[in-house]
Amino acid sequence: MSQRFILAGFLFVLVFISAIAVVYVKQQSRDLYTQIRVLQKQQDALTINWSRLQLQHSTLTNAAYIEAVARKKLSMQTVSHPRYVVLQ
Amino acid sequence: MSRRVADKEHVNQHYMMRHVFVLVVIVLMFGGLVVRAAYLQAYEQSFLAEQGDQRQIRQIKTLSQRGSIIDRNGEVLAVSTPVDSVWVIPRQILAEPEQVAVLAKRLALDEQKIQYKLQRRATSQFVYLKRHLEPEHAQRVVRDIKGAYLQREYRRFYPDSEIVGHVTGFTNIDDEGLEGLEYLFDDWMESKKGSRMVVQNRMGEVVEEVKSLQQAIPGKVLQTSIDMRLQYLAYRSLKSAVQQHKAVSGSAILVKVKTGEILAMVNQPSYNPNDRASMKPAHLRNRAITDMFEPGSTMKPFAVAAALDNKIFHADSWIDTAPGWLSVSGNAIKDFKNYGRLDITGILRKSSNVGAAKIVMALKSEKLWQAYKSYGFGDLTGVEYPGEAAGYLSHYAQWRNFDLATKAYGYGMSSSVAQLARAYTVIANDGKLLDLSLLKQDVEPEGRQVMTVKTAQTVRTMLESVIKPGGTAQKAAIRGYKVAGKTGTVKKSQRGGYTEDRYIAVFAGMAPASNPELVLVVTVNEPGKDVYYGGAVAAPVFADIMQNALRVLNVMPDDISVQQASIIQAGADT
Repeated sequence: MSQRFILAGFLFVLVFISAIAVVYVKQQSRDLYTQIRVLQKQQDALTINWSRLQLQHSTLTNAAYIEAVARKKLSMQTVSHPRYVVLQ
Repeated sequence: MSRRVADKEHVNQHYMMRHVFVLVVIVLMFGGLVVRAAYLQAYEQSFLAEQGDQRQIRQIKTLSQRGSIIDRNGEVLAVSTPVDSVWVIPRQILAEPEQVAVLAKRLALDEQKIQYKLQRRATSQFVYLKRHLEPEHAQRVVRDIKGAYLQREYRRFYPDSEIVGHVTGFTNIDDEGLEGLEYLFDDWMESKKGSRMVVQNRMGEVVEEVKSLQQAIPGKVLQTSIDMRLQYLAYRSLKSAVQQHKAVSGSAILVKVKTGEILAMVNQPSYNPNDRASMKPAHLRNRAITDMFEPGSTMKPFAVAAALDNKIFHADSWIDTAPGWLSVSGNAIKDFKNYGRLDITGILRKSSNVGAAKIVMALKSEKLWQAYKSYGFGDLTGVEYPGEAAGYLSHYAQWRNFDLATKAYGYGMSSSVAQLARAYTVIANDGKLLDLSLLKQDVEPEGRQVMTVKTAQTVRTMLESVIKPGGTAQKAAIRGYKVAGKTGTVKKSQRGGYTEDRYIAVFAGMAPASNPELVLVVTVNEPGKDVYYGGAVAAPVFADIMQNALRVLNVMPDDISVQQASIIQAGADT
């Protein structure tokens, strides 16, 4: 009889530990999920920013824009044949 | 014995009591459940339905970015950026009618129209209100609104819009490729949708992630052969020429000789791929690839090459083109004027139809057909662009004498601008035919030898004379570089014959001629009535684009006198 009691007690302890573990893991998964969502939102914000910067970059490096600045603002000219030398 | 029986009876009675007890409990429990269920169904249905709405398990689709299109140097030609679309559940919005006005104001939409749309689809679970808003703006729109939610989507942007629109093509609102490279490489750039299972509350907020069912995978980047700097220069030159000559349309295509890569491909009129609403179907055509035209005099170098390769003539043979016209089977072939005796270079320089016709008539139909075919005429160019035209070159068995003669100066057959450019790379590339490509090539393709090296070099030298004084295209000259090319002024065909006042001006050429790096073909369709010659309309565009391209690509000038170069070299050494 006492053997049975010991077994039951042992199993009870196991069940209890397992229950606590379930709660703990659940809590952990919630925490991790919160973390991953925060990171995903960060990633999202960075993606948005990255594509904005890409668009900005291509607007600023747009050949037409550069040409206008070079010619008008900086008074640059295309170098034509007699004014350049070729080094071999 | 009797005692044992009595005991047994006692035990049985004891068990009987237990049975009854358990049975009663079970019946009561079930009864309780049934009553409770009935109560819930009957009395608390609406309350519970709402509670259920608040927490529901949903499968949410997750999207990812479509791959970008970049040019050969990594410049962005098309990029997908995250945007948010506002969607609503009409029932929830209409539950608090004043929300409609707030939404209308925030979205700058007509309140009546929203109201009507929501009423009409009152039972729907998903109605788009406005698509593709900037994420920050979208957040403000749905704030504190019950029944309005956001959906993450991606919108395609084309920073260089119409400059490279014909190459990139465009996508529909769901980011699926419809035209151009977007269509051709849709599978490559397409992102794979993912999905996850979540518990959502009534605000559409995710309360709990149940599980990730499928990870979304972003699409792959497509690197094209286009060089955006050259694309811009070509676009600018062609556009100003088309405007100046009040032409209907125009095309230009710039090809890298050693690889067959298309560095620039522009057309007029163009369109803005960012703005689907304002697109006109006629402007969407990538004319350089989809439109066919009779290549005219730009075919003459190939007729000459075929004759040289078949040893019918030598480079220094003379042909009498007097009296400036030739009658073939009752049809007259005319020259601009009587050029008298010309060598083969002279025929190309003066663009003599009579001379070219005499050359091919000395050649057999079969030989000319084989040669043209091997230069890629009547065949696809390998770019695989949607809607590509193969051109038309009928079988030689159908040619009569006059048909053969007209092929010498490019009538009675048709080609696209891309095809013509590909054929000119044969002359530029010492006789090797390459497939054209819109994708960056990492290795030089093998190519197929379709013209002997000697003939290609000879024809190239002959074509240099076209640009020199006495030639038809002196306006194609570029200081510091040798240029080889050929003009064409093609009468447009219409039903029943050729028009007398509508032309296509063409120039096809290469530079630097001593070791060509680039081939460029320019066409201007229906320039004004006063100036319409290829040498006057298309050649200056060629010179402008080519000069800038050679400068941008740092190609070594080949037309600076040796003396000057050696002095500089000596100076550099000290």
